[in-house]
Amino acid sequence: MKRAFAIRATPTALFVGVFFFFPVGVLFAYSFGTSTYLSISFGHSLANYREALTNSLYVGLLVRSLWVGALVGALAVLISYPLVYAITLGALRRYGEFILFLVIVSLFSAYIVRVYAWRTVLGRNGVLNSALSGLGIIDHPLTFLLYSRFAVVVTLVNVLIPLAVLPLYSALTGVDLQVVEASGTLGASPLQTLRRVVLPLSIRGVIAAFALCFIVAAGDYVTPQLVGNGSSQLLGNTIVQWFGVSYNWPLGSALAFVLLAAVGLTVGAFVVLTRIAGLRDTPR
Amino acid sequence: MRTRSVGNVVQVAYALLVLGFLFLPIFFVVLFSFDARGIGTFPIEHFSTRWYGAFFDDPTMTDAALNSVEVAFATAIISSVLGTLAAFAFARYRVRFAGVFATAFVMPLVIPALLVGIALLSFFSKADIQLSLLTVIVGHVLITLPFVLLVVGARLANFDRSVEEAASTLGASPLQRFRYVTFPLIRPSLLGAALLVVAVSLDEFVITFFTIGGHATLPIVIWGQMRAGVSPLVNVVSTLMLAATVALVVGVRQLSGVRFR
Repeated sequence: MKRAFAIRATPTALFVGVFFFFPVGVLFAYSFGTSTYLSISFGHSLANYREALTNSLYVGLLVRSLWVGALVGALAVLISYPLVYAITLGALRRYGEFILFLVIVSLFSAYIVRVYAWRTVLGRNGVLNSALSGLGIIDHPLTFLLYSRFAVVVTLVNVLIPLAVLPLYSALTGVDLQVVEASGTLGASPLQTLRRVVLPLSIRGVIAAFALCFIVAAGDYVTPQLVGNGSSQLLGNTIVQWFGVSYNWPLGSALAFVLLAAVGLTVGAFVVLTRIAGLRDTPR
Repeated sequence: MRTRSVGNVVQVAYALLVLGFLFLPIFFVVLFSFDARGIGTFPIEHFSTRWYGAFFDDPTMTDAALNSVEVAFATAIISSVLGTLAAFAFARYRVRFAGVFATAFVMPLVIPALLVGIALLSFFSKADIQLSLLTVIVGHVLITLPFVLLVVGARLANFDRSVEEAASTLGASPLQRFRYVTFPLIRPSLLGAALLVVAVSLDEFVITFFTIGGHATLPIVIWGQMRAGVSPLVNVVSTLMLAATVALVVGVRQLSGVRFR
């Protein structure tokens, strides 16, 4: 049994070990190292972490990353939940598979293409501005649309909705329609049914959806770089800089691990919050 | 009855709104790729395919496209083999630490992709491995393995093993049994998983950015062009990539019977 398992799992384990866990270890080792203009060396100094956690620039970027991530995650779940409800338990049940298929197409469409598309929509001469001026609503193009924190949030929410839909769909298809109907028959208002029956039963999906979107958004560097401005850059952008032109890998990797830890803690805190709110799918 | 139908209208309107939000931006990109002026603004006066011609005449673009395809196919092959082997291990043999391995194998997809990218960059640089399409493929295999595990694993979970026993009883060697019984039964799922891998690999940017060195795939070209300013070719590249995605996802659906749940 063990031998048969090992024979089949070993090649994959080796691959993931050598090319993922070992590299993450190398990165971790770098985070205690030092960097000069020409070379980077491992070390055992905590200076990079001290810098990452005390320099107000990095702390500010970290807080902004978590905040933008949480906002994007919350918006993606709030927008997706009613849609998924409609196609699993609601009026669009019969078209559920087709609509899910459309969402999947969107999910697998290139991330960078979808970010680019928002530049086309939000730009100075973009679709939105020409539509608004065509309708006579504005005289001059709105310039706050692109290269702003607004653009970063809208784009990330748009890109991540499909990622939220998937776990919500699998959670809500697991909710028995008869249970929902029974709740109504027993006198619960639709809102009570949602709060007391449907939401608790699909809470795992909500947690997964929020966590996935939060992790991607908080760790992103592409969207802020392409549609954001100076005051909407995230910690990821700084990490990319240290690994690129600025060439301070030790500081960059320390920042990356701080980000990873903060993201993990936030996801954990969210799970605890749902527990405190009494949202659980099994009775206590 | 009346409130119910009002509720239905609201649900339909809401679904259309969200789908519009998802697809309208992409739709404009496709539309602008056929704009003869190529500046990506309304009104579009003439439709033309001249930018598509320009795309195929530009060696930077065609090289990047070939690189993308090369990486995607290599990734699909490696990922399918490794993922299927592991899926068999998980589905057929219950061992104590299987869960640990399963978690380890999906880790690269769960942590921010940026970290995977810089970890690989650090590793390749420390190991003196030159960045190339090969290093790109390594990154792509890491993040596509979970998809193969999921799709093939789902197929193996409801696999009727009595047909395998029958094959053995009738005298098939283990190799024959796999070749003539097991493999044909999982082939559609396997192919579906491979197409999914191709779709993910073709579109991957975040990790590729760190592992590609001086080369380029299509997403890297888009990144470069976007930083340089607006180029009508970006609309063309985007449209071609979207078309590939749609074709692949339709293929996955037809082949694997994966219902994306």
